[in-house]
Amino acid sequence: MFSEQKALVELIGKATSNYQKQIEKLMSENDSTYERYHKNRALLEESMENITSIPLEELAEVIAESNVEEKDRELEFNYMKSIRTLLDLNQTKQTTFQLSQIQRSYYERFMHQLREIENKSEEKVKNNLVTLNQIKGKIKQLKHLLGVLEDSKNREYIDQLDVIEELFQTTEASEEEKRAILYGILRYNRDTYHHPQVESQEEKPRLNLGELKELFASHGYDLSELKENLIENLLAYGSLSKMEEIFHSLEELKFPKFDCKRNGIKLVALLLNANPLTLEEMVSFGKSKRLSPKDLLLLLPALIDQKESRQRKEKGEIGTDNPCFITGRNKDFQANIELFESIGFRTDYIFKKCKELLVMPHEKLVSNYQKFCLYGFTIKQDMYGDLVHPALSCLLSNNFEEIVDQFIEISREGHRYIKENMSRITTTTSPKDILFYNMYASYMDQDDRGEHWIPEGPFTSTNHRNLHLRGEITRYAGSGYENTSYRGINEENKEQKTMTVEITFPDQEDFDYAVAEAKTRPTTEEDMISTDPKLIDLEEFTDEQDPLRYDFNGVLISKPKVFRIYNALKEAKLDSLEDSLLYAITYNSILSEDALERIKTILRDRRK
Amino acid sequence: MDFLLEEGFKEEIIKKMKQRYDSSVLDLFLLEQENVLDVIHYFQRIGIRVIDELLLTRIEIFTKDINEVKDAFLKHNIKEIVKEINEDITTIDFI
Repeated sequence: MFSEQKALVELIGKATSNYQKQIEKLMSENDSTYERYHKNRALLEESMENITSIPLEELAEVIAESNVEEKDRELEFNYMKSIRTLLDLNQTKQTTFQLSQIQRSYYERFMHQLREIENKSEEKVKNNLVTLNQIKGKIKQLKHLLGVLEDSKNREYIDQLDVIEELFQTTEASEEEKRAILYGILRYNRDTYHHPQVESQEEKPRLNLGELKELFASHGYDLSELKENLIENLLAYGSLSKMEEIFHSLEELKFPKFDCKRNGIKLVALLLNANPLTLEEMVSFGKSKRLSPKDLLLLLPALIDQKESRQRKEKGEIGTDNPCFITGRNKDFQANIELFESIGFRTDYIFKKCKELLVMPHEKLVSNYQKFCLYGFTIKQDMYGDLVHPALSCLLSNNFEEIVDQFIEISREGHRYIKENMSRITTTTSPKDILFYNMYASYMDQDDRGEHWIPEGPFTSTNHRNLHLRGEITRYAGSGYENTSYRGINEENKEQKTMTVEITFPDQEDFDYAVAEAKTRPTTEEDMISTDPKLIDLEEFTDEQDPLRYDFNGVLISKPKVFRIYNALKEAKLDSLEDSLLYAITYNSILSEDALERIKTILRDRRK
Repeated sequence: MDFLLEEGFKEEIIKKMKQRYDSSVLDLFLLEQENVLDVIHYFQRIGIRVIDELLLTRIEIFTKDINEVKDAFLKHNIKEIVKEINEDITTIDFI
C-alpha cells in the first residue's frame, strides 16, 4: 500500500491496547462499587437487623464517601458500630436491647447517605457504560481501518481521516511520524484514484463453493436455496472474511433471518456491498426514526455506504441490471428524512406511502420539492386512499414539471385542475400526450381557449367542487377503449386533427441538446427565477389571474417553463441566438399557426 | 429487470421505466422483485389490464407488501373498482 503503513499499524496497535485498558478499568469500577451499595441498601431496607451481615469496613466506606465532615465521620461510624453490635447481640444472645433516639437518628442519616451515594454511583455506572460503548466503537473503527491496511489486495480509498486524527491525539506519535503517515495516505489515495483496480478473476481468485457453503451453513443458511446467478456473484466478487463480518454484524444488530428462496437477493446485496460500521450506524439512526431493522431491509440501499458504491460505479459494475451492486444511499437517506421532518412529515408516514423517496438522491429530491412548491402544490396528508399518494409520486418522477407546464398552457383552468387532481400529473407520461390534444380540441370551436368553456371545453361542470375532465377526454387511455377516440384524434393524427403545428428552428439540434443536458442535473433556484433582461422584458405579459403564466394576446404559456428552458440555453451560451427566446416560449407547446404568429409578433415588436 | 421480461412485459416498458425513474427507485424495485411479482399476479387475477401504465406511473405500489395491497382492494367492491381503474388509472389513488 504505502511505505508508512507499518508505523500506522503500530499506532493502531498501541491505541487499541490503551483503549482495552480503559475498558478494563471502567468495567472493574462498574462491577464493584455500585453493586455493593445497591446490595447493602436493599438489605437494610428489608430489615434493620441485616446490618449485622454488612462488614464494618463497608459501613465505613459509605460514611467516607458521603459529604459528612471529617471530624464527624468517626462519631457516626461509632454510632453505626454500636447499632450493629446491639442488633448482633439481640440475634445471637437473645438480648432485647432497643435503639436509643440518637442511635435511630444516626441510622436514618446513614440510610440517607447510602441512598445518595448509591444514586451517584448508578449515575457513574451509566456514564461509564456510555464511555465503554464509545471506546468499543473506536476500537471497531480501528479494527476496520486495520483490516483495510492489512488486506494486500485492497484498493479502497482510505477516507477514515477523522479516525486517524483521533489516533494521533491518543498516541504519542511524533509530529514527523504523523506527517509522514498523512503524506503516505494522500499518495496512496491519489494513486488509487488514477489507477482504480478492476476486480477481475485474475487478480482475485474465485471463492471455493465448498467454503461458501460452509460459511452459509455456519450461520444457519442453506446456500442451495439461493438462485444460481446470486451464487455466481458471491463466488465472483465475494470475500470470505468480509462476508463473515457482515453475517456477524447482521446477527448482532438483530436483523431478521432472510428467506433465501424469496429474498436471497437482499442477503447477497448486503454481503457484497455492506460494511459493519455503516450497518451499525444506520440501525441506530433507524431506531431513532421508529424504523426497525426489518423495516430497513425494505430500504436496503440506506444500509450501504454511498462511497463504496461510487467506487464500484467507476469500475462499471453498477447498474440496475446487476442486483448484486446496489448503489449505497446511507447519506441521502438521512438527509431526506431531515427534509421531510423539516416540512412536517414523520418518517413512518413517508415510509408507508412512498418509501422510494427516502433513498432517492437527496439533491434530486430537493430539486423536485422546490419545483413542486414553485407550482403551488402542497402535500396534504390523508386526502387519498391507503395505498399511494399522488403528490409523493410526483416527487419520484423525473419530468413532472413538463406535464404541469402543459396543463398550465392548455387551459385557463388547467393549473387549478392539476392542483385539484394531482393524480393526473404522474399518470400523464408525456407533455405531448393525446390527453392534451383532446383538451385542446374541446376548445376548437371557440375563439379564445378557455374563456367560455361551457358547454364545450374539457371539464364536466362548474357546479362540482373540484374540476373533473370529461370521460370522453380521458377514456382513450383506458383499457378496452383502444378504439375509442375523441373527435377521431389518435397518436398519428393528433396534430393534423387539431390543426396545430410542429415548430422547428435552424438551431433546433443545438437547442434540444442544451435542454437535454440541463435535464440531467437537478434544477436549481436560479432556474426558477431570472434576472435576464429579455425575461424581465416579458413581465408585462404575466397573466393577472395566474402569476405562473404569460398571456401573449390570448396564448397561454407557462412561465416556469420559459425560465427553465431559457436558462438551459443560456448555460450553453445559446441565448444570444435570434430564436432562443422563441424556442423557450414555444417548447413543448401545442399551438396553432395563428397562436404562434401572435407570439412572434409580440417578440418582433419588443425588438424594435 | 429481466424478471419483467420473463413475465411477458415488453422491452419498451422497461426502457420507459428507466427513463422515468431514478436508479435508486429501480434498485428498490429489483430488490423487492418477488413481492413485485406477487402484486402483478394479484392485479392480473382481479382483472386489472393497465399494469404497464401502473408500472410507469405508480411504481411504489409494486414494492408494497402484497398483503397490504390486497387489504386495500378488499375494502372496495373489487369488480367495480377494477373497472374504474381500467377506465382511468388515477382511481388507484383513492384505494
